[in-house]
Amino acid sequence: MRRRPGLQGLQQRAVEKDRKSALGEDVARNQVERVKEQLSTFRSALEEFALKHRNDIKQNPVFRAQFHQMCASLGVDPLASNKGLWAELLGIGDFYYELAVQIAEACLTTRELNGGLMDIRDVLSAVQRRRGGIAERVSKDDIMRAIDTLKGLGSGFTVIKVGSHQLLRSVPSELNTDHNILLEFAQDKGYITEKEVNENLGWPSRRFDLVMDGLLKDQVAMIDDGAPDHLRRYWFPCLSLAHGKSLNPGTEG
Amino acid sequence: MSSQNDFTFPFFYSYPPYFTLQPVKDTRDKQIALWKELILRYCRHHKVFVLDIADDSELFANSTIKRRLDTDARISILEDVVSSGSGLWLREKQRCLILWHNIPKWAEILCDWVKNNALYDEPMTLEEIVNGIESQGTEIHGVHMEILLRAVQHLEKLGRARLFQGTLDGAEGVKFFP
Repeated sequence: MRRRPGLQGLQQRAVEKDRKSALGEDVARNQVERVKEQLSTFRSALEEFALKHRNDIKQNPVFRAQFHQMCASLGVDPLASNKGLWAELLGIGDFYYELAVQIAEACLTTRELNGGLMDIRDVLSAVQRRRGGIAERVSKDDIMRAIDTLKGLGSGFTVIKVGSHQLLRSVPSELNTDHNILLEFAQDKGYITEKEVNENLGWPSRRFDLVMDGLLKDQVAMIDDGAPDHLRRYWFPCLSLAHGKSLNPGTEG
Repeated sequence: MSSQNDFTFPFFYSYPPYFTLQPVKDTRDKQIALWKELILRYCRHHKVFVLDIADDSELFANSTIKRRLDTDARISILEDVVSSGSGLWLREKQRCLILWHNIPKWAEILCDWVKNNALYDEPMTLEEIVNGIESQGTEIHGVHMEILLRAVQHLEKLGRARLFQGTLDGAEGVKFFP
């Protein structure tokens, strides 16, 4: 004869269930504890490491970049606060803050010449000139990080990619896709002609004129009517002012 | 004369578009300002007092990048130099006197020179001042006659100089007063 479920059996089963879930919670709690513990070990190891290599971090840009990478993978952001242990330990917050100011300065002083578009490499060399030889050396990675801190201020500093160039834009107006296409097309020589654009990109002159008008008005481009082939060249100072071939005699035709 | 070698041209002198007048006003204003700065610095360095619009000197033409300012561009730039008080047209839109010091400053230099050489009340011809021994090694030596004349006229207004016509050869003479 089959036994029907009795009261006692039901109670027993409930107790067992409670016990199991309590056990499960215990296990989960233990695991979290352990991970926390591991993390804090990681962090203190990282802090210890940072303290130990403090000078390297401050002075060696490559080392600094690697340190940042390590921090990022551990979920630690040495830049997040200027008040925390990190700032006290390394003064990193101040370092990037100072760098950001120098970057902003470099952009402002050259804005009239390049329309507020500046090659990251130019930014780097301008900042390095400004800092002089005694200050800690600065890498491109540092520049990018400092720009990130500027972004937090809603300053409108953005990095745009044009072909192999990275340009820092310090004026609010946007580069649209067509602008970008032309800049990318110009990046090797530093200039373009309507003919080249027509032949290579298939743009009709209406489109070219429209886009170029905008770039000229924004002071991102300048015209050059002195070329030997008598075709008007449109130069982009942001691509070639400091690094351009035009500054090396003999390469310009 | 001064050496040609130690003058450094600014970056824009090697950047082709700066040799074409820019169509956008803001860009053009900046361009003209840069050229003006270069012209004054260049002329002062090489002691060039007069720029001729038609003259293809290295100032207006960079043979390395094969670019030259055209006549309109030269006139626009020099007009800006003149309107800012750093130049005077000797012949309108053709020959421009470059004043890297303005006239009052030249007058001051002249006064200092007179004082340092104790030449007060001494009648001198303008020619003597420019080419004489006393002015050798000073900025006055070799100065353009037009500049000297204007500086003297400036001092005349202040009662510190008097121009007169030489009795013998009709050359212009001047006397300075303390």
